[in-house]
Amino acid sequence: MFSVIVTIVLIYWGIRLLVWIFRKVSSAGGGGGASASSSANAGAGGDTGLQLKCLKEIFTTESGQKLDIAKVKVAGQLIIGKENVNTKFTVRLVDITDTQESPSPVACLVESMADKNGIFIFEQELKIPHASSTISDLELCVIPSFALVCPKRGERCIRVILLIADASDEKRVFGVAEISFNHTQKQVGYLERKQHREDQEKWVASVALAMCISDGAISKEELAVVKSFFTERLKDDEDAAARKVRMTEHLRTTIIELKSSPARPREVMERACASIVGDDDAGLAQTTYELAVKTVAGDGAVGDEEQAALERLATRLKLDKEYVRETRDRILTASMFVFSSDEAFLGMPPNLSVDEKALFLAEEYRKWNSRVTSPDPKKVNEANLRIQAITRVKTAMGNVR
Amino acid sequence: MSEQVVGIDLGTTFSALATINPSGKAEIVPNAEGDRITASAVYFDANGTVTVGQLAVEQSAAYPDRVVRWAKRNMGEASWRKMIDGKAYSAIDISSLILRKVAQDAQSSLGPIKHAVITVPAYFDETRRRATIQAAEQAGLSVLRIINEPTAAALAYAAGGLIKGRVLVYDFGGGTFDVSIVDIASPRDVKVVTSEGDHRLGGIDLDKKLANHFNEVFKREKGISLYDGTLHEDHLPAEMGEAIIKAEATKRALSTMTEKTVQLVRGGHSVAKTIPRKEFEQLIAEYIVRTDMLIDSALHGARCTPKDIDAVLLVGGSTRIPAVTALLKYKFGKDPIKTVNPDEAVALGAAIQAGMIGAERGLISLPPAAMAALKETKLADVTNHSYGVISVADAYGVQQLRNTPLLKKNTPIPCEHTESFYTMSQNQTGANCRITQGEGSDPEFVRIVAEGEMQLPPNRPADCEIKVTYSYDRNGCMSAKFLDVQSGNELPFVVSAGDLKGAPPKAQVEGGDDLDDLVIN
Repeated sequence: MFSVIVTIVLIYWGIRLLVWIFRKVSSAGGGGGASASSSANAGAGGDTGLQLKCLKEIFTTESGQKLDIAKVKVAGQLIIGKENVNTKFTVRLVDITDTQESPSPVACLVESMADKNGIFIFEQELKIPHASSTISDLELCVIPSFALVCPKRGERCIRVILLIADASDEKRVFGVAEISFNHTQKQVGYLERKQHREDQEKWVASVALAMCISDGAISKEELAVVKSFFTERLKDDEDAAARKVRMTEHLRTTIIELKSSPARPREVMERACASIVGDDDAGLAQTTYELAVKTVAGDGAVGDEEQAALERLATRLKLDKEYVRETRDRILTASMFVFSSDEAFLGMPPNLSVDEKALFLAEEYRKWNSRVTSPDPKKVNEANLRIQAITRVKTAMGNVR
Repeated sequence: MSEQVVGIDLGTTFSALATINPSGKAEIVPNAEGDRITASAVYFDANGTVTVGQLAVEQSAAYPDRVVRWAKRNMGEASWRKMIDGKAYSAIDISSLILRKVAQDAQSSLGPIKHAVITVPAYFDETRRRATIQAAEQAGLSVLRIINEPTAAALAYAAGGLIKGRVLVYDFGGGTFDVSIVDIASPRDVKVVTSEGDHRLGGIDLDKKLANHFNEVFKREKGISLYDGTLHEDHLPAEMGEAIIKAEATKRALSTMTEKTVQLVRGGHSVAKTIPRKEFEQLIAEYIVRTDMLIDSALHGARCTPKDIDAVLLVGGSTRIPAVTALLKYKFGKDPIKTVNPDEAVALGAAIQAGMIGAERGLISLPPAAMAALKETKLADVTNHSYGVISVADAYGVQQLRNTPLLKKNTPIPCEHTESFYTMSQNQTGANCRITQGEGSDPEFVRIVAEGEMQLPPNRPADCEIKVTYSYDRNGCMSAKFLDVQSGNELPFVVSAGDLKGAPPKAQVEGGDDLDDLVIN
């Protein structure tokens, strides 16, 4: 990453030097065929052979998804000095939000618009037929703003730099132009990623520990599930040792906080959930829920308070109901629960009419009957228990003679 | 004598063999004892002699550790073994002994038997079907085809010429329960619409329930148990075996009598218990409800209601229970039909299918009209399970591994379906291809029946197309092909009940002795 930043800085200053040289040459009335250029918006001043425009738009995909894009257009005079020259148009982006002197590279998640380091680049070769051309609003490229990754999240200022050079000798530059545009980065920036990942893991850990204590005590087995999860997750990290120390410290302090008062578990859970939901990362929410379910199942029993806590968590994380059901089916088994009735065991909503009950039972039956051929004997056993409960409820309904 | 083709119903509690007679009609071939059905029980005596059939059942009370029953319930379970005299027998081994017995008995009247159609429950998956084929081959039989039990029964009923329209086949046997909805256009045109099954629901479950009830009654009266421990098919001490035999006899009696008195005896204590039919029906109500739920499942799959069913056909000995008839009459508004002996319908249908294939391949010789009738008979079945592929797909907003069904359950066969998938990353040089069997999109709940790694050329962008084609032919042969469109690289699979590729290792009797050395009575 450091070498990439250095490269970009050098390129940037290289371009600035060229711009300075061009202006010097132009003002001295010398040849060389290069024209100074700048963009009207950037206000670089001097002779402006080329101007860049950057137009923000919203692109709607076939599936109806809306994506932010920015169209880069160039207009103005391009003086090559010879006819039929193969030129190369190169567009680069730098983030100048924090400092113009040391801009940061802008990464791009679209592989075809990134170099081998993942930094945005657009290159196009064009044969210019005339020694001097007037470019009229040529759409050069479409910047996929939705796929840009700046160093940090939030409101960023991105400078677009266009360089037009001889394709066979890139030191021969025919034109340079710049323009800046404002960009809102919703996702975490690449400089923030590492810290952000750790923050996310702490939120997940906090939720899992809050689940552990939801029935009033943290059991060794439940804690072991949490520890095992993070041991596995961190084992291949380049900074594994230090991260494990930090995570262990977080677990320790969180447990202390959870035990400090009866109200704390809910507060800790709510705080962590607010961060998770605010992150708008479906995968994170699912990982959190799945670990929470595995944690409460760790001691082989799921009590009423833990059940209630899981339900609150699913609602708070805004998880799809079908996902929640699928995850519970996968991890929890009938033997973990003490249900007051078969209906409760099956998760049948209360107050259903006879027809609604019949429909619910029929759907549950189809689902669990298809699982009796699972290769996992535990899942087969679970399916059989469910089917037995379904038939007991159906028998009690007395619709069948 | 020319080769014979036969149909065999390899049942959990009883098996039967049928063939096509010289007039072109299917008929049951009795065993050496003169019985039309053979108990699927195997007794190993201390001298190494093997007895298959009713005699084995009769030994089960006295020598429970030497008798194996209901092995079909463990078909395809690689780890299941029954230890006898230090030797381990798998379900395949036991089933092959039963098949050998029925085939050998029939040979005395038919001549050499080489080719057979064997039936399996509709819900048997690929592993269990392959295991059944292995059992047949171990018994010296060449399997022409594996067909579903309700499908075979539908063929038998259709052949009688009295049944037409959309029918529901209710097959409640000793160990398994299947429901199929079948369209019978004519005696020679049978098309399966849907099939559902429960391979752990059968007559033996009703026997166990009743035996448990006997135990409760005995405990209440005498303060001691009729037997110790819980009823488990693999480990039945003598008292339990006896309780089950009495329960089975009581169940059968209550099909015709309204009550039955049974003597419960243990260690000098005796209780005479009278079981009214109503009490028995209350005991088994949940099992009957389970069959009802499976019927609803089949109707849902066929997108029809009970009113759309023209007839209900009874198959399997457990359909003799009056509660079954009552359920079906209540549900469908008509009396179910049992014009074909419910114990024999499956074997008869299997023989018809064997005759169809035998006629097509020139294996049999019959009068021209009979040959023509067999050749003209059309039987269209459906896939019994969904077959899918595991890929990364969007699920609940996250890209994760999901199972995508390509051939859905109850698709008419033969069938073929192709779908495109794409490589995930730049410079991806391999694709893990996994073929699944089962329902639903959660990979945790499906079975992987075949897998392999496809090599891809390097230095390519992401999103390169891979076409996946699944096909299922009339012979129950499922094949798959993964094709990288750009390079032409291919990875083919055959996942077939008729092909031992990928089948479980051939089950051998441990201890070194081959089953061929066993003398079978």
